[in-house]
Amino acid sequence: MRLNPDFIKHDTDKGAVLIAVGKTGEKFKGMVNINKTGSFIVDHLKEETTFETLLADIMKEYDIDEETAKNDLDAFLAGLRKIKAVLE
Amino acid sequence: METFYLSIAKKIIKVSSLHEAVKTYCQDFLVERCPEDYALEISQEDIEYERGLNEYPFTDDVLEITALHRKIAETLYRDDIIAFHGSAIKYQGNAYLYTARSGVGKSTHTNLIKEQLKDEMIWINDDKPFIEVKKNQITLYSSPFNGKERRGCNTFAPLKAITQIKRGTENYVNEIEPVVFFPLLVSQCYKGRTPEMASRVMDLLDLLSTKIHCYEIYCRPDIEAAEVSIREILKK
Repeated sequence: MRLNPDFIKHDTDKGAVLIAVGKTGEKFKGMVNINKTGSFIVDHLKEETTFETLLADIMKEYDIDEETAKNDLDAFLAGLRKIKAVLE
Repeated sequence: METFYLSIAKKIIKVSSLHEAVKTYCQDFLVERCPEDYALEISQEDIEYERGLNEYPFTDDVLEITALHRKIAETLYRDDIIAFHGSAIKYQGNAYLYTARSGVGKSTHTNLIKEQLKDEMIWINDDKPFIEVKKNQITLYSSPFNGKERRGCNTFAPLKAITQIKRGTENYVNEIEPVVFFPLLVSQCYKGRTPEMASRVMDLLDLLSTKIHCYEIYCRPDIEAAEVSIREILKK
């Protein structure tokens, strides 16, 4: 999986947001606020990756147990899939 | 191929269009031939891009007008000028922008304000104005792209407030924190087709949100809604 190239992460003083450009931006005009971990995941989705690799990356970066990391990653990816921000 | 010169947001734009109807559409913004800031050419490929975004089978000349707006927006952002969606009016020398998702009633609301204020209010642009975002001044400019009713004129004014219109059973206004209002600004402006433009527009929206008043008005499509809008936003 990887990030749909029509989606870009924009960093601000207050955090990061995900917005869409191009044809995708004509349909998804809004934005998604993302926290530090979300920002980390989006950065890693810029290259082709897998759920397992992302999970390992998160556990390496943050001090959390596997179950929590798995649930958080699942929920975050579900949100991205809903707005077609992830290409499988 | 038709070539003409437009002045939009104080920038001179040389346009080469495929259909004469585009020049006619832009007639209030035409200027004599002069050194241009930017030169834009609309191609059949641009028209086909617009066709791909529309379900309704618009004719090529109509799609070329949309393509021209897109190209102008993708040019002027470099001068800190962003394309917005909304109904902009001028009252006592200041601009006020009313915005909402399509179909909520922007034009209906500003029309009701017009009924109340008559010649005290003018439409700047009823669909796609441009906003210049500078640290010391936010200015709203009209554009030829002024909606189905073609309400608007070639003018500009300092932008005082942006108001989101929401349908309600009562008429009332809330002033909104910029951080809360920000997602609406993002959804109602054109962010372009490249990450470079989108990032720049986001930075400009950040600045814009701190320089103007942000309101939401819950309203019915009645004259009392206009009275509340005038009292709580325009005369505040």
